[in-house]
Amino acid sequence: MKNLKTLFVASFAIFAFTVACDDEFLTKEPQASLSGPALANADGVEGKLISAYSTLSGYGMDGGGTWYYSTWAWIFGSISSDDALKGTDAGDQPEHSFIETYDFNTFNVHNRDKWRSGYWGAARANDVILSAEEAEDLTATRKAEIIAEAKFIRGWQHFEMQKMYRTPKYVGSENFSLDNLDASKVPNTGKIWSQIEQDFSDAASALPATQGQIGRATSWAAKAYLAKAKIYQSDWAGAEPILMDIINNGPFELVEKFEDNYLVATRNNKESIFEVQYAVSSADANASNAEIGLAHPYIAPWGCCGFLQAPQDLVDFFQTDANGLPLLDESWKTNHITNPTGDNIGQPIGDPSVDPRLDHTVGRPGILYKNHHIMQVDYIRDLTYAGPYFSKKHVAEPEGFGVGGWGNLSANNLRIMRLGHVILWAAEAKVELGKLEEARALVNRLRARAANPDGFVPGATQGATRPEYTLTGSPGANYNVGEYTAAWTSQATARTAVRYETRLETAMEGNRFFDLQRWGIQSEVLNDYLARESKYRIYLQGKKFTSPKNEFYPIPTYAIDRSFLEGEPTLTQDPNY
Amino acid sequence: MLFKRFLFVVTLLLTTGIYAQNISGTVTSDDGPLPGATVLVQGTNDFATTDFDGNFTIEAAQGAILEVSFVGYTTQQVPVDGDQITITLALGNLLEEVIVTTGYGTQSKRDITGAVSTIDAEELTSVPATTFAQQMQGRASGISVVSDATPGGEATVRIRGFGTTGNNNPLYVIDGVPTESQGNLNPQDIESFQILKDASAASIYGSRAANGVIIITTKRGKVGEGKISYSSFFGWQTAANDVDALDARGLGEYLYLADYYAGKTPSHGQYGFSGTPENPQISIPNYVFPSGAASVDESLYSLTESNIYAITKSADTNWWELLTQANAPMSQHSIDASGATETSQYAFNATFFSQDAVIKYQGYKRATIRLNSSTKTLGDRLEVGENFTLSLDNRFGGYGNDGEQNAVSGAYKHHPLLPNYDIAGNFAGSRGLNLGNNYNPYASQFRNQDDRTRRSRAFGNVYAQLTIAEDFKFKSSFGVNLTTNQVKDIGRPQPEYVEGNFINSQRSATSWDYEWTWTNTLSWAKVLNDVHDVSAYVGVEAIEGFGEYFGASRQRFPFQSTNIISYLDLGNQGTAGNYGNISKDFSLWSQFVQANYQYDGKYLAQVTVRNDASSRFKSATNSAFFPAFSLGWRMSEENFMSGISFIDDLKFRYGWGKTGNQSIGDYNAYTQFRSSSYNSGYPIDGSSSSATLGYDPSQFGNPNAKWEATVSNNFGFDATLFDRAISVEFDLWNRTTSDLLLTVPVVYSAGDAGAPAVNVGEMYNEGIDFAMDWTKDVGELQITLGGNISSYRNEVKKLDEFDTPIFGSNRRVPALTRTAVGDPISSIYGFEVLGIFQSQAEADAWAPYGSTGYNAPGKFKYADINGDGEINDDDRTIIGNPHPDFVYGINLNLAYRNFNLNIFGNGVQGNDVYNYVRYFADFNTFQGNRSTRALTEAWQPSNPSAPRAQWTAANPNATSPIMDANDQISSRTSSYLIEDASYFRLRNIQLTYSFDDAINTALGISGGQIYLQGQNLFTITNYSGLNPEIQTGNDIQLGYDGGFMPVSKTLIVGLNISLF
Repeated sequence: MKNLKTLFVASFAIFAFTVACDDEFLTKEPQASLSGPALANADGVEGKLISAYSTLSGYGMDGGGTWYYSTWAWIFGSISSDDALKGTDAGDQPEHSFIETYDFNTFNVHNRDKWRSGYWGAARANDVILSAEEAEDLTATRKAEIIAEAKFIRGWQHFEMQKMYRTPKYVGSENFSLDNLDASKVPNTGKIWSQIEQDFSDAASALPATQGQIGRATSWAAKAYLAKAKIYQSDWAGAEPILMDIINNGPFELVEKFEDNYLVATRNNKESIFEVQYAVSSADANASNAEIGLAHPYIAPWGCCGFLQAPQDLVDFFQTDANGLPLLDESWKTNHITNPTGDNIGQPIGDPSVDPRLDHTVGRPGILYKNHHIMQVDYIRDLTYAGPYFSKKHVAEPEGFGVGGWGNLSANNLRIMRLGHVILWAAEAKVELGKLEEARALVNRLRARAANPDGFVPGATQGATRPEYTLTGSPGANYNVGEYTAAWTSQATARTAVRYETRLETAMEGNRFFDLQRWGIQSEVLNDYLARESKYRIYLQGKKFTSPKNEFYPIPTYAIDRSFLEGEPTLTQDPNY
Repeated sequence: MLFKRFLFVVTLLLTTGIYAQNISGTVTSDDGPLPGATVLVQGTNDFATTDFDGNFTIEAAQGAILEVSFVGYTTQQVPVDGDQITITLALGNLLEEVIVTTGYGTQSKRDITGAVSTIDAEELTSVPATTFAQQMQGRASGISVVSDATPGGEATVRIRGFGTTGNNNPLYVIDGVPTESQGNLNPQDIESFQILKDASAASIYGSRAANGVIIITTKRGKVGEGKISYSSFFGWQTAANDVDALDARGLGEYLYLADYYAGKTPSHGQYGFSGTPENPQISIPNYVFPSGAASVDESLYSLTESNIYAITKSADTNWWELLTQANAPMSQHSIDASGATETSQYAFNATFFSQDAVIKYQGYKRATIRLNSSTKTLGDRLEVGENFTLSLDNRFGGYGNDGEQNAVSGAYKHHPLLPNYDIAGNFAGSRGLNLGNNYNPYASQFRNQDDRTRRSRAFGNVYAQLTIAEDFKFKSSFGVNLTTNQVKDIGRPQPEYVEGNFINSQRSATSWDYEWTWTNTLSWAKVLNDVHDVSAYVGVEAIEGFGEYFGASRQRFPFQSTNIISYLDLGNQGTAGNYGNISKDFSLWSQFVQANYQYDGKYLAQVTVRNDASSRFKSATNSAFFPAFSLGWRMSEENFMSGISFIDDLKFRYGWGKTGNQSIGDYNAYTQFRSSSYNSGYPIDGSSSSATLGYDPSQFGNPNAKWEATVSNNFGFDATLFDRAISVEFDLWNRTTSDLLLTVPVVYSAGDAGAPAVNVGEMYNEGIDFAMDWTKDVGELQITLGGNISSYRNEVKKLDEFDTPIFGSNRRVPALTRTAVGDPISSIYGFEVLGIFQSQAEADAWAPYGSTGYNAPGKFKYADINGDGEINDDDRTIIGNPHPDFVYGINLNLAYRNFNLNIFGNGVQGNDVYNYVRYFADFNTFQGNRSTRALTEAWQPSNPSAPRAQWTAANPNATSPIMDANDQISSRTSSYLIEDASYFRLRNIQLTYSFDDAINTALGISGGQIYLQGQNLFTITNYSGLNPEIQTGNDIQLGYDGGFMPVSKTLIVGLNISLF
């Protein structure tokens, strides 16, 4: 009986003990993650700034198909224009096909993720700005720079949104808090150019002209973006002096060979004003240019997936006359370069002279493809669907290929802001301001570079196995490019020439849809294109670009659904949708 | 005492005038001698208890009446006639005497006032399965189970609908130890099974009980001599269903017509096309690599990294036939040993189970051992014991449900022109023009055969129970659940695959987690004045769980033989990766009390209160009360019922209670940041090979979250009628979940971190559960017919403060399940197809599909839901409901002498499934194979050569749209892809023969059975996919069929032998 009593007492002692350890027992603070307070210092802010930069690639957002919201904009800027076809086969990623055919759905997931990524980047930039204010161990100089870098990123992301949407919203740090997830539910009331310009001009005045780390924004990069924002608003007078400042006073020069803007080996070259940086190693491909990974030929060594093909229309556009000038008379629309599938419609022509930039932009059968192979139609996933041409600029050369597990990933940076772009915009501004001869001189700088024979794709003949080839010693095709030697006297012709040059220089870089947008000629150009290209690509038959609706993409339904405050959505859909 | 007894005997002698004498006898049952039975001389307090062999001796006079009773058996009165007597007890009505565990204590099933279903464990375990959860399917009302037919697969269990958008898994309490994992226990070990369905019954488990609780008690030794038995079965499984895919020529015809109707000149990289659309001529090339070749120099064959020239002849392959095997074996061997004395008991089991899948190179093995034992000491006042099981299992092979490239999807989609092997005997693949982008599904299964997921689980508890005073008991139980998981995932080169490579790889991952539960209870029970039956207990419980995982991988091993590629060391160190993190980290601290009262067996009441505190919530909100009560009225005991003879027992029940849910992440309260090259890495220094790592928010925190609470009402009755021939259980219930922990859709401009759970939503469920059993003896034939049916309706009442709808995840199509206020959770959302346009005039007259020019003869006529004269995304609507109208199970048992025939089936009625497989098989989604439906049931013009505007229908009743190689719109989510997935499945039919004594004697055993069993012999369904049972593992994405393992028809021969 005594034993029993002892046990009884012991049992209640155990009860009491268990009760006593209550508080400590019930506290489980996160392990294997960082907390806000741990990052409230200089190192934390610098790390947050890195993560804000990492949004520039359009890669690294959880739950998104990385290619949907690529900064290369191959979906929203290229395949929705006359620059590119979706490619691959008919049923692959129909959401892309809807964009290609101007069936812009409010529910399109790819459009949703484009929206997400812009505001995702802006959110990180805002967090950097707020955190920098709080970190006590930051020097005043570095703090100002950090805020300026973050503003550059914030302006950059909002620029993307303004290109995409007629009425995006603008989220500044005053409308941002990690502790109040509703704080950034601000309305979209119209264009946000003034806030974008403010971010870029703030950044331009606080950033140094050069940075120790090549990936960081400089004052030149901010100026270039400020000018680009003005160009998008047709503020020619505002843009011109900034652009000329960059051209005349900036440390940038055109690279000698056009293709050096598209090779891994020549990243961060003298022409680059700002590049989106990529890295890849065999152990880690998470900072590579994965968002372009699907847009590779459907043959070894890539094998996937055949997206982003070139239309016949683009190939024809590169034809030149006897002087090596583009066919401003639009005769390229009726004279077609021979198409190896034999479905040439109209008057195919034998071997017309072409601008050498064609074969750096488009993979054409029979032409060497960045030293991988001689491109043939085996690059194409479904020849009968999207034709025989492939894209090229973003694909890494063999030396830069296949470092990671998936060979399509590379460290081929995106030269998103280079001197070539600045020269084109400056020429455009000068045309609009009536300085036609100055514009001609600028355009000729690019044409002179294109004419450098060292930059031509060399000719090659097929060897015994598919990867083998022998260089012939002559150019890959009949290249002929020359400068505009006659004075420009007509503003309209000069405008056409600059716009032609813009396409020749930047085709398939994700700009075309937006260039047509700011020129206000989407409907005429794209419906004209559809009428012609649909003879080859019959899936384009009956498709139509509708103005003003298709000029911008719809605000995703998902974004409106998530914008409610006090019972009402703070976002308003573009009235054209 | 002795003196008292002597007095009684004297009295007896005096009253009867007959001398008492020593009577000896035996009490037996159908199962043999009954130890521990009570033999009472009627009218006296004289009694005896039978010994191990069922024998007893008692003093009684001739003619005196002996009352013989034993728990679970019908009490018998036998007059004394002679000095030797044998009494055989029959099994009693289970309702009456079954003692069930309903929380931290037990109750007679007869006295339960909450909604509790009991499943006969023997019936349950008669159908072999990977987990007990699969076996519950159709066995009880109020519970829906969706099984995975993959060997080793688990089942999704839902009790009474869906309470939340997050985790709706019930809590399992096994021998008093709570766990949320069904994982690898041996179903054979289960002794009894209770499902606590409503909150009044379940609230004793408080914060984890909102989704219902399933209480499992494992087998214990029964008083008597030690028993050893052996059981085993062998089974042969064959896929119960076949995929619907075209053959090579049929696909050629489809492609010809799809090109033609698209306005293209029919052409293909492999097929040769000629003829007219009225009479297409399809020629099949000799070789598919090189594409479409008639002849090839086979000496050029090469399969090296620098030169892939995998010459492949064309074929006409039925991939499903190639992938599946008839008579895939399954088997089990099990040994039981058990026994008990009055003071101690033991039960031991060892079982080995093995099952191959009907799909080749896939299977499951499991070995378990269990030991339950207990002993009493201190004059029977202290009982100490343990229940313990150790299980090891191994899932091998590469198959996973709902995968675009799994064997099922591959069988639908892989091109029939492709053979399995190329001319050199290597696996053939989709390199070559227009052959689609599927892996060779056979090669995939073959190459993944060395993939392993090995789990080991130790689960059980030790306990001590002390009888402090006559009515007071103190019990302390310490339980542990320890799980380790080891995954080995071997990647082999697939050079023949069009998107393939020559890279081999290996990933190893290990996870480890534990939970411990320490429970202390003090219980008290007393009967006062014969009519007030009171019992109560109070307790405290502490639970803590922690887990972590890590994994590593390497690529580019020098050789790829299994023994080399199975371990990381030989892989290239430059291609290594690794990861590791926390998987579980929480604690719970609880106090609870329950009291039961009944008055004279007529009026019953139960009150429960539990208070829980959880580490998942910050201290201000971390504790909550979960009260409940239930009342019962046994009307049949009332005097006014005495005239109604057909009612044996009738009890009405009402219960109200509150339960909680805390299944959110362990760190929901905290905003967290991470550092990873994917989310926050950027090569800021221009490095082409490595990124500088930054920090980005990975998770938004919500420090104000608290428990999700479910309040339920349950009204029901239990009745036994017509001399216990019929028993009925009926329940009418509702439950409302409020403060629902919703992972709110965060505005995108807040950033991309994980959304926190916030208490905002509300969900409502109501339903009916009904179960009935009927037994009848016709001569020696004993018929038992049982059935259950249950139905629930679910409605989302509120989501976040703005009622933002929540969409399921998107695949190649945008998310199509939508959880919105006013609808059932996870309703299917898309376009409604009204029919097919029969002519251009009809198409032109209809609302246009944007500016796409879609409307045309043979195309879908989509409903203009908002009536704005245009078809666009705003016209999407609810097109399907994944929730069934009702689920049911039927069980028929016929026993005749030594034979027993059992037939069991279950069904689901009225649920919709989105057949994602048809998104690939019925439309031109990639260039693989198509369903026969896409060709034979497609709308076609009778005059295809005429201009489209003049087309007239050849088959106006066509159900599929016109074949069109350029059509990307018809495949958008629409009612065309929604199917009614109702089914009835004959789950089991089993004929058992129990050996008679002669055989037992001849074999030298004490008993035995042999049986023949057929599983899934037929399924009645209109569902066109392989298996209407779709388990998505995500309750906001229900009914989404992305390719699921079909069930198999299985024939089983089994043997049970009791050796002693």
